[in-house]
Amino acid sequence: MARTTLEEESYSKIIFWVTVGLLLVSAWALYDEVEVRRPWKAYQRTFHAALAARIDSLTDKAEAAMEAPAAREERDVILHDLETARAALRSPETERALVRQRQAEDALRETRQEYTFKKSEYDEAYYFYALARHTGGDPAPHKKTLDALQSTLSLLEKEIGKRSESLQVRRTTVSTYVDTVTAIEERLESMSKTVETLRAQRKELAARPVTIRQIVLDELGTVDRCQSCHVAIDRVGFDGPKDREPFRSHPELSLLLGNHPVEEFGCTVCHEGQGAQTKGIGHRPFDHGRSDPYWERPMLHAPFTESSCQKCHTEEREIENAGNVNLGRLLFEELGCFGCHPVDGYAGYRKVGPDLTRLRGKVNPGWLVRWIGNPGGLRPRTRMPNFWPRALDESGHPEEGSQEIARRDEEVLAIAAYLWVNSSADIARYPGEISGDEVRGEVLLRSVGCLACHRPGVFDLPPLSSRKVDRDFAPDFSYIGSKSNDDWLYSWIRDPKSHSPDTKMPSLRMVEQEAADIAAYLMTLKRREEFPMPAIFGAGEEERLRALADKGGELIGRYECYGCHTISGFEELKPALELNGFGSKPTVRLAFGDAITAHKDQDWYSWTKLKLERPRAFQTDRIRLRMPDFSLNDDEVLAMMVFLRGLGEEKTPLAYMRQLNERDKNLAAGERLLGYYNCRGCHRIGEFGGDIAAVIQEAALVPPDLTLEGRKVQPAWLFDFLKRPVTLRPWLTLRMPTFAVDNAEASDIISYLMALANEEELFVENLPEETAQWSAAGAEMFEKFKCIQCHQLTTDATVSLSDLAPDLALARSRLRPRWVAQWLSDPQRLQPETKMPTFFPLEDDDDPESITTPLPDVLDGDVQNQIRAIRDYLFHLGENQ
Amino acid sequence: MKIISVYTARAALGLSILVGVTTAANGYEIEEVKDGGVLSGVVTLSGKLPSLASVVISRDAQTCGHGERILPRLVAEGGGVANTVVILKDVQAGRGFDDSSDPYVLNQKGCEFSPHVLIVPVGAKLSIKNNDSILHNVHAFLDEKTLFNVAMPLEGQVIRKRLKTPGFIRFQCDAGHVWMSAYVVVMEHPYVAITDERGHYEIKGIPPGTYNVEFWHEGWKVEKTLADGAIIYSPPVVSSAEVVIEANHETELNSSLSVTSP
Repeated sequence: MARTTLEEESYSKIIFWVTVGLLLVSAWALYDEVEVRRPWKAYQRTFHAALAARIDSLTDKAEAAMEAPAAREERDVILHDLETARAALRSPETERALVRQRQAEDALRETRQEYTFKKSEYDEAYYFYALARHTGGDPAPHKKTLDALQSTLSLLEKEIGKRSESLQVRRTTVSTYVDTVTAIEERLESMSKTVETLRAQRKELAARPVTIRQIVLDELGTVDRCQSCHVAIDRVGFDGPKDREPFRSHPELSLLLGNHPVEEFGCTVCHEGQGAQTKGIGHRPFDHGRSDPYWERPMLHAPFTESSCQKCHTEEREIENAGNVNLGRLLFEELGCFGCHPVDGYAGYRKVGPDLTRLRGKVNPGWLVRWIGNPGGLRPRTRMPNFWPRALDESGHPEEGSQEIARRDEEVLAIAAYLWVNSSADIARYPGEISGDEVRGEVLLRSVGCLACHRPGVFDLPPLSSRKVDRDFAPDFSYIGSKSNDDWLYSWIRDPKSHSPDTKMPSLRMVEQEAADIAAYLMTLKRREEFPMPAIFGAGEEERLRALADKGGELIGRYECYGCHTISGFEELKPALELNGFGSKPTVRLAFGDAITAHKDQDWYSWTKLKLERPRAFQTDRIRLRMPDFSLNDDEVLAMMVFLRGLGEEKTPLAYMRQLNERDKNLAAGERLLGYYNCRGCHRIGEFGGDIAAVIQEAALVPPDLTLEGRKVQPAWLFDFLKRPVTLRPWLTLRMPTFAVDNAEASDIISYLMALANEEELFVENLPEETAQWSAAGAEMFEKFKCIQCHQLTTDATVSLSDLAPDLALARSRLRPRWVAQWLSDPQRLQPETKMPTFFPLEDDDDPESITTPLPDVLDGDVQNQIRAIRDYLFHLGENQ
Repeated sequence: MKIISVYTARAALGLSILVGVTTAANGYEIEEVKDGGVLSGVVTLSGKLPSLASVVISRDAQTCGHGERILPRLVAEGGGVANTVVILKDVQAGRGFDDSSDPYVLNQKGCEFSPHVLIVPVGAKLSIKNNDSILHNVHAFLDEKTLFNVAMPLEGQVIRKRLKTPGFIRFQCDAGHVWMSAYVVVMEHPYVAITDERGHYEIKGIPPGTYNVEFWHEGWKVEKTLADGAIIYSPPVVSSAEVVIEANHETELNSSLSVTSP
């Protein structure tokens, strides 16, 4: 066998195969680049095909409808009509009409021209006439010419008018023929319109390229290409059970995309997410990084898309379609989270817990120790969290004898010692000469309004309807006799602000006897068990107690009790663990302790969820955690998570911030105050409230509905009333409390009520001066209608105080005249179930026009005038006083 | 046994035209009743007549009188209970209303409504008259919701209200006369009666058949007294019984109201 030399050896085979290989690889690379790595192309093609099929099927249906016998018949009729109309248009009659029209046009034009010429002559003549007058010539002949021309012009004007009219008539004749044809043509077109539109859509679809669809928003710094795959996201009608991603319409399309057009907002502003990855890694399916722990910012999935609402809707209390955010924020506020976790926007909020600087006069130490150790054990609906959750077993009972229990009891005693030593017992003593009557006290407590806010468990009342947070609004006093003493209760009820200037508890302006009665009743509400005083609080132990208090002070600092309570010695301390930016905290900066160890399970969501459910879950041997347990239920945990997720770091450009109009701003600010003071505990305002009705069942004795109050009363009066309420309705046992709102709050409440009632006038018009006849009519009706049989009138000393209706002397400063007129005509319409009757009944209840008057001789029986006259009389009452 | 008079076809026809709209809306059909039966009886009180609540007349003494007034919620002298409403339930067809008591008038005199209980056909107009020289306030409730609330300040003033919904309308006066009360029973059909002072009632012209009869009394037990002296009473006392009405036959059905009723 001949040996071939190296030079002679052929590489062609290798080169061939390598070339083939290279070609294949190149082809694969090309395919991968163009197709595999661009799955949106396939999606778009699939969707276009589906859309084409949908349009085709609609087209077929429409065509079939056109070919239906009835449609055919109709078309034939139209075509016949069209033929007739066109023939009529060509007929000699139309020709003649056209000729007549043209003749009329010519005639008019000629007359107009003549008028123009004569006008010039007139102007000329006037020139000579004026010249003659100015130069001392004789104007008389010129005047004659002028007058002659003037009359010619008038004649011509008339002629023009006549000819215009005649032309109009002729034009109408001709246009009738033309219009008939046009109308029939339009009818014919409309028959095939659906099909035409569908064909146009189909044509447009065929020409539509398969391409990247992107939205570039400079201001937000986003380039969103989501619609390259999510081709149907802004289309209506792809939300059936068979429609799958990425071919589905956006949920709540009209609200969400209607208010946030995709072209202006893009997608990632709400959905977030990162990068351009478009398919799964390894065996993991593609889900925008939701289940991938290595993604720093995976896309938000529902309901966490709600978190993004907060970026722009900062002023609203109730963001539409974002119930979790709304509830989460409310919880954050009501549970006082901001006390320990400062967040922008909560500076200046009052601490949520009571002031503890006068604690020693208020509680019995045995109760105090039990309370601090496990508040939920004494009051299940309290907002006070548990700082020693590990001392409780799964069912919420203490695990007796455990190490955690021992630690808790030691710490609780120390904290109680600090609070005891560092608070004053300075309270107004129960006056010796008054003795409280518990029976009277209970009647008063149930009738004066306490139960509008306090819903003690032992009373078995429904929870407040307007409360969205499932916690007590005001403390449950079911067992207050075990907690407190009658001196303190008496002095607290008499004047809550003197104990705690920041308390929400209003004054009900109780006289001494009333406060004593209620205190006596409250002291009967005791738990069966005893709350023995710990020995260290006893006499002779002061030294030891003070030593323990020092330790307690450290614990108060550690647990940040001062975040919610005012405590002597901690006035200046500010908690520092702020939560701004917490929503975008990366996983690597979250400590999972021993609770979640699998890497794939560690992310922001799992951390936050567990932290809220069991705040001490991430505690380890070396790290002791401090956050207490708020006993959040599953819905509350989710709502808090959604709210917290929205506490991002980036700032939204101003143009994207939702700017509320004045009215909505007023409504939002007022709504917060209404919740804060629980106005709806007594008053129905808008759709909610009036919860006191569960206690005061008589419809006429419940406090007024305030939905339309803004339209009813004058702002200046309401301002005074909110700051210093006076008795308006002496027959009500309930009292409007003195809330001690500050000026800004009072203004906000007034603005809210006006916004709610769509009232814009801040100032109220002066009523005009009356004529003698008018005021006599007002006075006559006022007397004959016997208004003062029910209403009192403090300007008239002969009228006794009435317990039926408000004092009419107040009307002038309190009410809006327009409201009084509406009220007089039909009180039930403004305030259903009111005792105020109408004096002007309808003859026929279904006909509002059939209003009648019992005094047909006054002011000619004109009801509206009568109403105005009475109103004016009311507003001029006591004018000179 | 007693034969009752038979309505002529013409009269029935006339009535059906008169209340034609009402008939269509409520499903009660007016037809000639031949050989109708009669239901009558006595409602008596079982037990000792309880003492009734009273109020002090605190205002308008010149018109309303002085001192204390016992509220006549339970009139049962001689054992028979007055003002009990006896109703045949679910009557679909039968005679029309005898319009001899039209116009239906509710008077206010001496700060009291009279009559205390009144029957008005649905769709008819009720005239309410003030015979006093003070303001009365006619506040009417249907199912404890205000139906109308009209002031009547003038002596001799009359207002008319068409009553469109069947049911018991309760009247009160909000002008400080908390003791004033009356009931108007708005009926679709005329098979209803109010017991007289002896507790006796009679309903005539009933198409033969089996009926459920309801006895309604407004009740007299005080639930509570409000601050203004108004008394909230327990709900009305209602009982029922089944009865068979035979043609041209008078059936007797008595009922007794227990003083211990709720």
